[in-house]
Amino acid sequence: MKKILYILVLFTSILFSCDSDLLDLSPLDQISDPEFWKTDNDLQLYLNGMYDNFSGWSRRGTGWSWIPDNGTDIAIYTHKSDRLDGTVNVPSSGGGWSWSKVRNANYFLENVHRANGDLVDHYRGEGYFFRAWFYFDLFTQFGDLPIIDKSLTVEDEDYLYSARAPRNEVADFILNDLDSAIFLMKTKDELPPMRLNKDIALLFKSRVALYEGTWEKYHAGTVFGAKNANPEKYLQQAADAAKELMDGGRYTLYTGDTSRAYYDLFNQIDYSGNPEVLFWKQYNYVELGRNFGNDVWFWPNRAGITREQVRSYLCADGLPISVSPLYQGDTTLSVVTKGRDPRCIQSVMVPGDVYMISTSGDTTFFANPDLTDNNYCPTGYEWEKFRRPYIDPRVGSFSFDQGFIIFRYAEALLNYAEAKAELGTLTQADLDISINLLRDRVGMPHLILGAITPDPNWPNYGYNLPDYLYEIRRERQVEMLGEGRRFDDLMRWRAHNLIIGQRPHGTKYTDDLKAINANMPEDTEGYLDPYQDALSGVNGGYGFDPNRDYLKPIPSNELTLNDKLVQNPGWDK
Amino acid sequence: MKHFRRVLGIFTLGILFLLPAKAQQREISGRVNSEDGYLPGVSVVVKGTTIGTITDADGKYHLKVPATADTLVFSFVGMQTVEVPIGNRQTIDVTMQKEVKSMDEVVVVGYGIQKKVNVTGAVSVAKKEDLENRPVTNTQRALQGLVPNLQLTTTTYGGEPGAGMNMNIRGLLSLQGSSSPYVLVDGIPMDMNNVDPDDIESISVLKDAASSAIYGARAAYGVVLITTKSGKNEQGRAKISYNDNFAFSQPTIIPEIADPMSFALAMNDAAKNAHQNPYYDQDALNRLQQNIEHPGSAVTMYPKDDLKWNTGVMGLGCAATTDWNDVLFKDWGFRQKHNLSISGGTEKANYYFSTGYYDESGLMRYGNEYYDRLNLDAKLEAQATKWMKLAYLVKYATSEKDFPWDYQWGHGRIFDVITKLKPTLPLYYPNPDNLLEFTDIFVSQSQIPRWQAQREHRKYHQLVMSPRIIIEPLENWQINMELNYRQNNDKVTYLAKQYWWLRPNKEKAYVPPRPTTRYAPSHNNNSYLSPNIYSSWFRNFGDHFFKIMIGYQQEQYKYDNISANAYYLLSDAVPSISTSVGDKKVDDAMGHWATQSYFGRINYNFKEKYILEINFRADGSSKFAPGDRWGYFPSFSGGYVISKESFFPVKDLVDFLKLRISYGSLGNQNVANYLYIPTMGTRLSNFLFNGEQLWTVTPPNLTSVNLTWEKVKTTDVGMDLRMFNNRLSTTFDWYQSYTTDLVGPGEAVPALLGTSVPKKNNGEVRIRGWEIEIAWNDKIGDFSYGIRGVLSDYNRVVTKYNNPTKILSTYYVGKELGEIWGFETAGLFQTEQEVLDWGVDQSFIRAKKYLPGDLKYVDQNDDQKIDVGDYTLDNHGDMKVIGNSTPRYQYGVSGNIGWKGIDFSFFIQGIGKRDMDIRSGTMRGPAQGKYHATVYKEHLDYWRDDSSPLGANPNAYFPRPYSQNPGDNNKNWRFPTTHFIQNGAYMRLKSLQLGYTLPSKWTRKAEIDKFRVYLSGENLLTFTKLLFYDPETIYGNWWGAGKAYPLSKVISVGVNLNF
Repeated sequence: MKKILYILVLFTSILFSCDSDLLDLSPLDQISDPEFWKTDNDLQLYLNGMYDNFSGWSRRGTGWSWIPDNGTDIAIYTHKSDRLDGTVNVPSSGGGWSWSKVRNANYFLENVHRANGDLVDHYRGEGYFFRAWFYFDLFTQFGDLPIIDKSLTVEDEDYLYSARAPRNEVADFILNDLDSAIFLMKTKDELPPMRLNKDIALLFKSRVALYEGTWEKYHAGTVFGAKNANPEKYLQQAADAAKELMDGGRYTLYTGDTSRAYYDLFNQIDYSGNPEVLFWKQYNYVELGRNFGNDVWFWPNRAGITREQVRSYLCADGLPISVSPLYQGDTTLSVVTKGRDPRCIQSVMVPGDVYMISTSGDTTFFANPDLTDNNYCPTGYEWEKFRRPYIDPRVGSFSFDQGFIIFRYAEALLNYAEAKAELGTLTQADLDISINLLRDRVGMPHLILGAITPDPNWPNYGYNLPDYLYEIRRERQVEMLGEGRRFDDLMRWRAHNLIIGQRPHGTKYTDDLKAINANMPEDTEGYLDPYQDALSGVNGGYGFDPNRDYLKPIPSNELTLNDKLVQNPGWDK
Repeated sequence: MKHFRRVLGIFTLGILFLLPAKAQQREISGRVNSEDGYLPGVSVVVKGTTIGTITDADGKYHLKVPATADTLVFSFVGMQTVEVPIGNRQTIDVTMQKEVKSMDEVVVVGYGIQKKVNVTGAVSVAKKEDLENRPVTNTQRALQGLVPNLQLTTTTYGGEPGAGMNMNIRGLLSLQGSSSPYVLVDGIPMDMNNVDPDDIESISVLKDAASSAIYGARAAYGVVLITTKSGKNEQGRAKISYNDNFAFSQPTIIPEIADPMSFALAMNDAAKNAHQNPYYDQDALNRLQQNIEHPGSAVTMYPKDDLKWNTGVMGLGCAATTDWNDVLFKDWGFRQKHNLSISGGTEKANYYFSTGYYDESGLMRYGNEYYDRLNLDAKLEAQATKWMKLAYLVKYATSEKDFPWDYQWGHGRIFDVITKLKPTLPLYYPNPDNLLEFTDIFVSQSQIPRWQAQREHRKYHQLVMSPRIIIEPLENWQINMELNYRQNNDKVTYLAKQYWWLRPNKEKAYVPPRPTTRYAPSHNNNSYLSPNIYSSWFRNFGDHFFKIMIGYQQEQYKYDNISANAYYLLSDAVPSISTSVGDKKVDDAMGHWATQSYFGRINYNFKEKYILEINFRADGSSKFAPGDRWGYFPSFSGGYVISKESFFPVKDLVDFLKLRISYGSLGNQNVANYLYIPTMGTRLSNFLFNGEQLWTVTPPNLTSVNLTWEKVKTTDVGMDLRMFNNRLSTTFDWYQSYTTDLVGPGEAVPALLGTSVPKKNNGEVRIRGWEIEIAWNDKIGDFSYGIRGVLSDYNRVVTKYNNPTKILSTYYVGKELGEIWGFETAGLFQTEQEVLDWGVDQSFIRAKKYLPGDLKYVDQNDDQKIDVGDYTLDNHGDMKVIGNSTPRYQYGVSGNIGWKGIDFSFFIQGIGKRDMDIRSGTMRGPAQGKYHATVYKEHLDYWRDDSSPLGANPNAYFPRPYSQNPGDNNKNWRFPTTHFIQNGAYMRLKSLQLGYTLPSKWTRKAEIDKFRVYLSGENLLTFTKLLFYDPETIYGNWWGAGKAYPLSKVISVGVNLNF
């Protein structure tokens, strides 16, 4: 019987000899916060993930790539934009009202002081840049915003249930973060490749300041106007930031053969040596797989440039089409680019353009737009800008690796010229270091103050502009086509006259095109009319409501949860 | 049990020795047989006397009987007594049948066994007879439909070789993680599919909280206890048992693709509806017609240029007539299984050794997919001393699975892509020199070349070891000490080699690019260690019976996975990390959890008439923060055997009637590890820094500090009834379960928080259901038969949930789970005038002009506009509940007949009612983009006017198709509608078996106890109203309906041999 006791004691002691903290287990493959934030390398680790938030081409495998500026007056997708058509509904949640990225930036800025190393300041600057970047995204959607400068917990009720600060306070908050970033960040040459730097922050600052400056100016007196508006303050900041970047001399325009330098700029795989590109997103399908390839090879990508955009290009003599003898009309794709600003033919596919260059160097030429494929072009004006014609021998098709430009130097020049023009301090010298450099690249005549030929078809913004400002805006529309700035431009210029009751059109629906697809919608003048029965406004045009649609609605759940939040003008609670 | 029988046999023998023998005698000998083989210990007595003997270890007996004796009586506990007239015979062999119903039947329960009559919880039992000889992949497939309210449904892996099933008891659910029952095999948690069904003795399913409470926090969703076979005292004789089965399989139901010409014309109609050019121009249609009439007479496809063929999208526009179902599926797949076991023992020791092998090749002709499994089991038990028994269990299982893989989209894509193959796509490339001839090179779209080069391989090993000591210090007092250890080592390998296709210029085009060829192995190891110690004591005090059990358990689980991705295979012949010269990435995952538990049980009964049971368990889990770590789970149950009362009126009719009631509470620790610890995740960035992916950390979420157990509280009322001399037996249970503290979202907080609100325990779901089991067994002479039916049902309602706006996209109070919100429709528009007359604005569904052939939506709230309102319960526009996808009235019916060695059995399983909203996958047919589109025969019933070459079809079921994805098809397919609700009820003949056992007088000559041959079938018949899909694989794999690996229809032959 003693043996029984021995066995029991033995077994029980084995049982309890296992550590007494049996149930106290901590993660084995995750870093817990207290062990982090030691060196500047930790800071870099944290920030690397934030770079994922920069948009680029659609990932390989989705079937087609969204081209920036789709859903504006100058470029469309096969389906209409609800925002322009005024058919956005008040969502119960979501709808862009997302604060997780701001939280991530705040969490970083709260902890950055815990780390040591040479690059701590620079990374702190990146943190400010990102907070500004995320805030600006919310700002353009919603206007007034609560100022959240710390990472919140459920207990932070004074923040969670706070009211929205007026838009100019938000703009100041963003610009302030950018000033910190500019102060703290290093320049391109002092950093590893592909990291954000001081110049990028300067360019972004000019974008933000120009946005707020023009918004305050053109929305003054409307429901969207800012209280105590001071557009000049922001316009000056925009001009100064752009000028500081221009004076820094670390970037220049990419130039070359005027008949193709502009086109060549946008279809490269690697931009690391490009003097004009401040920041870009890289792809590498072959080595890294599907997540790192893009679908921008899937032309025409369900996208098309509108007739309205095509008509806005000047002729090669610097005169508008209604005046210039060089204009040959737009009755066929073959003539529409003839005698025009070279950026027109470098942006729009017309017969004779290079369609494909095989691995052995054989060239196929473009004949007709794709009107039948799943990814067909709704306007017949297919994109040539961004199109890379080379077959990649490694994948046997067009490359999936084309880079995406996020910031380029030309924008600084355009921002500078526009800000100076809006301030009324524009000089010929200003134009010569900005707009005219862009025109030189493509071989267009200079823009000369005092010698501008009036265009009877200048866009009717609903208000009048000095002639040079019409042309600066045209320059921006032409130069930055498809680069994602147009929607913001329409909003800050209060340009609803270009939207309401309007419908985007395409190319002339010639018999040749009808032979390809006889079933496309066509307007009374015989041009493609892709949204013929799709829009909700007057005359079958966009139903944009100028008293509501400049800002997006705040989700209804948020208003229920926080009674200090006030809905944007025109929207139901 | 066997032991008890033997004692009885020896006792009978003892009596015999005391009796004087009579003078006039003759000798009779023979052998006693049963379906399990020869029976030792059977008492053989001359009727009306005390003269007799018992059979020896080989079942033989030898008896001197008086001349006057006319009848021999054979009796054995658990068997029906047999009386045989002697006549002039000198040899009398007897086969004994098991008793139809034994009052002493025992049931395996948690940490012990119990007499069935004393069970007060809801426990169902499946026996080995129900599982044996089924040509199925695994135990789960054999168990489907056998136990009321134990649901087994196909996973996204469908009927793939080796695929497991989803398991659920009584509809119990968690909002977090899995709600599968806790499966224990001989007391050790493991996947039941790692057991060879032939080694299973019995399966107990503990359904209510009272019977599973002893497992506390592991058992919130019920418990399945599997007991495997053991050795017995065979008086030193070894019993050898060999079973095999050879089976041939075919897909049950695969939708039939329309004939090539109808396919082409339907796709052209869809293109026209989408304002696109026809996919098949007149030339292609002519060639197609020519090939239909005279196969091979027209060119099937042309080169586009030197480099590419004009294959259209998956063959759209080509002119071949390929029957892809015929090409892709074998006529017959093959499976086999074998099980050899040797068992035996003496009073001092016994053993059971078993080897099982299962091998299944799949259904696809070129898929080369297979599954095989090897099981090696041993169970040893020794009476070491008078007071100590030692036992040792070893179970080893290894299985292997090979399947085609898609290097971009993975496993699930395989069955997705084949639904996109158009019948006009040729199987082989034409000979570039003469396009009317074919090469023997498969077109790459057929996927066949890819399947050869891109594979997923899985190899599993599981080793279970469990040394056990059982001590009996005093009579009726037992102490069990068990050390359960399980180790799993699995390796999964993904391999993407290059394959090639033929260019029109006769060059080989290799894909994928060499640098993206890939070898990606992962090693997944985990171990489970659980010491258990428990002790029980019982005693009768007069008519009062007491039993007390207490115990302690701890569990430690660790996992450690390493996975690698190596690119750029230098050689396809030797894929390895070392021979890959491109990028190499290694990743790992590690984690652990532990529990500590105390448990106990008290049983009491008075004359087996009034029965009480109390269970208690306290569980601590590492998954919760200190302070919220411990959960306490009590349960109570009682039974009242009213048929034992003296006042019980119909005793001659009713043999047994027990009323049961139970209540108990259980916990669920199935939440992620470490939820309460703030951690920063690590991952690779998606942004390339100078070509490199850099690592990044993600900020911690707010931690769920107060998270604790989800609890299930179940009340069960039941009844067991046996009537007509135990021929009829019935069990009925009604239950109500409240799953409380469901882990759900925290309080709603403004989105400014910027992260998800920590999870909280705040949801509650009420489940009410019932289950009934009725069996009838009888024997008339040599003819025995039995029939058994099970039927069950439940419904589930959310009673608490944090959803203040009552938005319909998540749970809300009052939601019946499974309900389908959608629109009522009123058929299809026939004319443009009808569209105008309808007078309802349908632009919310799709802002496009509605055309004849599109769906009419019914305006429920008379606002002349179809919409979803706020999509909340209070304002849901024109939406309403249009069905419920919960399977209702699940049933199983089994029957068996035995007559002179012939046995026949069948098993039917089904679902009585189920609404299905199928708008995904291939359901849309041609109403998809051209890549995804398919046209099944039934799809030809789509709306078209007389401009279609197929003729007008105004009374169609399917609306006007648009060749867009989804585009204008959103008019008809965007939301659930009454139009597309399908009836998901079905009835399926799961199993049919016909066997013949050779008479023992023949087999005895070869020293064989039993020799049985049988023919069996699985899934032979299906009754369903569902359109073209198999009702069991409907939701298909990851890519939607109709894209799952089909289930198999199987025909098999097999042998059972015991000697």
